[in-house]
Amino acid sequence: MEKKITLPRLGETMEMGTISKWLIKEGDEFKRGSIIAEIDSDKTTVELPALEDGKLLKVLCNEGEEIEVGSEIAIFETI
Amino acid sequence: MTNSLLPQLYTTMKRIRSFEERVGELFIKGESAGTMLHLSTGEEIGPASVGLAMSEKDTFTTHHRGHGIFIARGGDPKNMLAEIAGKKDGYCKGKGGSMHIADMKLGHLGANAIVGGGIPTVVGAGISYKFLKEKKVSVAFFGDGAMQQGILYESMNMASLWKLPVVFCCINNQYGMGTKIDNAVGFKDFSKRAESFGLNSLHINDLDVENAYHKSKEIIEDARKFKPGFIEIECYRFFGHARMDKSPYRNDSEEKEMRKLDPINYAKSKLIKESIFNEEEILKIDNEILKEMDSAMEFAIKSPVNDKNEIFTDVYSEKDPLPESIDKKINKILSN
Repeated sequence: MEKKITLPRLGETMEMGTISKWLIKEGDEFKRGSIIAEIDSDKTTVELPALEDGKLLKVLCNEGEEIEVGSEIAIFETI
Repeated sequence: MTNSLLPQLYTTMKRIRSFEERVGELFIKGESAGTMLHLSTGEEIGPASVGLAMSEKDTFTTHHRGHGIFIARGGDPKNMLAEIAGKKDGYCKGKGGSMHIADMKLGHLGANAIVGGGIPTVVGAGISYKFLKEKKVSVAFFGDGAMQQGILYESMNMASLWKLPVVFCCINNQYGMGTKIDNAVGFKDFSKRAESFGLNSLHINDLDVENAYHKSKEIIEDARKFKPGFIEIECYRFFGHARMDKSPYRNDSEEKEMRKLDPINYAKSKLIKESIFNEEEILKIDNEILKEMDSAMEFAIKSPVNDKNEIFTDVYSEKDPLPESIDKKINKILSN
């Protein structure tokens, strides 16, 4: 099943965020809990873990691009 | 079946780790109340060994990184996660959050976010047990940061002077927030400091949880006979100070090396080596724990938020009558 990953709110005051680094690329498989990206918020850099096992199909947000909380950042397939 | 306590100790450590992973997920899902979530991942040996070595009626206080300790003492992950989510079903109706989970019924005398803040409470508890002739021990859990706080030394002195059934337990994870212990401590042999106060001291720097359990048990049982004790358990905080901290003050190679010192992996290998469980049986236990924690997370997310009027409850004890007002007192004199 295809699912989307959205930019999480990582602090009460965060409205926008940036993916500073993708740690996986399209086609990579990942396990629940593994760190898939690093996100810069208004205050800090936070590691984004996968919430379930999956395979990354498409990256929707490039590194360095500033986006709103809740925006879709990637599509993955559950495995 | 074996007489070894390793299955119980392994299960406790694994439940703590799985719980903390769910706390991290709750945060990413935007369901946690607040972002200061201090995880005890990597430190499970302390809560599991000392937590299980305590007796059922023993009491304790915890620091800001106390989820694991409460899990080891019987805290229900459902109500703990609901507390962290700020919901009605939380241990403190969601008013305490991650750093203030408490339940007196389970001997949890309070979590305290102030460094060293929970330490003097166990001295008071110890005095009451001695006075009331209750066979209980009270244990204060704190981190290496609290080893530099004056309140610890006042408390250790009183426990020693009055020979109280108290144990001070330092979970030394090498970091006080972002400061490495080498940059904060002049003399790192903590158990020697405690010894100089006349305490029964123990230093554990070992991955074997069973060993830590047996040694801690002796210290706790001595405390029950009014010989107060001190336990230092060295470990490594696998992640940042809180879930939102990526620990930029540590280098990746240190983290990579130190995360190899995993007490859960060590216990797992020992279970297999001693033919207590095989890989498959351990996987079954792990899955059972994951199921428990996933359903706890679901419970916390579904739990309702409090009515806004709840903000006015649990502030003062309603059992205690208010003192007579000064107006009433004066009027009483005047009317006589």
